[in-house]
Amino acid sequence: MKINSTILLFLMLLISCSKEKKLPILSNYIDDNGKLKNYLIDNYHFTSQLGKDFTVIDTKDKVYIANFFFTSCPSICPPMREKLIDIATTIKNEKFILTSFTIDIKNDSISVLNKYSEGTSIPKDKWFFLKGSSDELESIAHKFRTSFSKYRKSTDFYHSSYVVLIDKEQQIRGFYDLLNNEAVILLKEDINLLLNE
Amino acid sequence: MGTIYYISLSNRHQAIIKTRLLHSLHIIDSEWSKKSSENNIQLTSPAFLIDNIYKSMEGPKASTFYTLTPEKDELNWMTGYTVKALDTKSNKQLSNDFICHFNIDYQDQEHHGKWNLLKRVNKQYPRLLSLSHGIESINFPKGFGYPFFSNEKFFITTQALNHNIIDSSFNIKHEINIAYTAKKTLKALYPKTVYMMLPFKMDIIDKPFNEIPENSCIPVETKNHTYQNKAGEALSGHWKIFKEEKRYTYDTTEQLAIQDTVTVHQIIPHLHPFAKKFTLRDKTNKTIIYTCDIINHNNKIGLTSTPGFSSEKGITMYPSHQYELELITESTLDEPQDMMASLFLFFYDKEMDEKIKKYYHEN
Repeated sequence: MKINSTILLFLMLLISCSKEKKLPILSNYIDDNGKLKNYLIDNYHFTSQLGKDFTVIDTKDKVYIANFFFTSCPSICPPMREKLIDIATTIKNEKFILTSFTIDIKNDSISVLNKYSEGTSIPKDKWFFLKGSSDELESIAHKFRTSFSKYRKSTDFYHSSYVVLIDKEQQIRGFYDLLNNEAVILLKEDINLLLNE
Repeated sequence: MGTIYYISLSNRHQAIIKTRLLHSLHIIDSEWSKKSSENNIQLTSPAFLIDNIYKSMEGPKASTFYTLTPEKDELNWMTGYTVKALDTKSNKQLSNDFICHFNIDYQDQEHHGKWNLLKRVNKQYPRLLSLSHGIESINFPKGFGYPFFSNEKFFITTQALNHNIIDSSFNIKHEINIAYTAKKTLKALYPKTVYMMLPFKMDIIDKPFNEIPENSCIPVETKNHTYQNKAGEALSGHWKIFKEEKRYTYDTTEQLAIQDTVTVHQIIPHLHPFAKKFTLRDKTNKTIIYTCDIINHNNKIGLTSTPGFSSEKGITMYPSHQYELELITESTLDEPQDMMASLFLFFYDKEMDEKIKKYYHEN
């Protein structure tokens, strides 16, 4: 009886702890009629740095992070890249992958993406550099709740320094600013949390 | 070797290392305390060791993320903010002279994404507001608030200040209180930050603080507070002032980027000691939108009061008008002092308000 009570107490503690750490589901938005629309990140088609198709099949049962970048980015991409290399190196679990979508589809060819990928020294089945049509890009950007635009008279773009965290069910579970060290620490914790869900 | 390296660091970087060491070894309290009741969120910072003079941006600081209730997706409204310094032993309130600032940032994609206002993402730094030395408490005007969901994440930072005490060392904490409500009758506010910027030359930024000429960036903050204008000239949001009265102006029309006629209902200044008067002026119709007569301490360095602006009726601002910030400073000290001047403005958010009305109708 005493053992049963102890086990029960332990289980309750375990449940309460895991309940505390549950991340919210954020792949939703309020539409023009005021209704909450839930959706999944499940319908897209991009090409990876290896020239292979990249679709939802490649993220099946995976926890992944996604960000937008371009290889010639002079401003925020280099520090973001360093943080992403750190995350890829730290979290070796094969169920975790990284995806980076180029927003400069004119200049970032597959071979340019491949060369950029090689510069990171991260395995190409761990970190996918992706290119798609402008329609696909706009669609995935909206799903990741972001937008970007080109600077006037410049090669740079306005784009976010955030990454989006997606769970094994293709749902967004968090947004994290890679230029904020505290956010990167939290992101690593949350990736591990989702890997154990 | 380590000691020599530490001594060679700036006061700010010494404070960062010292605080990290004290917190990681749990020599002083290193944890945030977070409590929420029906209408109040209370966050108490880790302890900060006050053992030196810490000017603005130099003191011990701490940051944390906060979510009201991750498992709920309910709409609430923030209506007021307060930060105060506490003695860690007695828990009694101390002077506001130990508060540099408290910042709260929203998560751009999360906040605007939820309302499907993606055109707002990446348009401005996602700072909701900053309360600083001289204005440590504000309440939005009656009937107004900042909408947020209970599972929405915010980033909180608070930093200590000490302009005067050099003969003792002690620990303080910052207690932050955020008033919120679930009432469905509030109108939405939209935050916007404007700040005075002055031109400077990039080739002098690494010189010691006392050797750089006026209008120069404070070297330690160069990375985060250097901007470029359209002509490619470097501008600084931090500069130094001397023992004289000085007037600075800055055209803030582009920063404001007003797209439609709007009303401003709350203005919060962020200033440093020896600021004397801060004004936001409508240059087009030659009217003053906001002016702040700053009260400095009499017998020590510090700001007694930097009054803000709060109004249910609001003041109208126009997309076709030109706006200017004007700051008058007067230092009484022989040594140069650092200066900055920002305003956190809160406009009635008509677009958000219409979305919220529909949301309430559906939910």
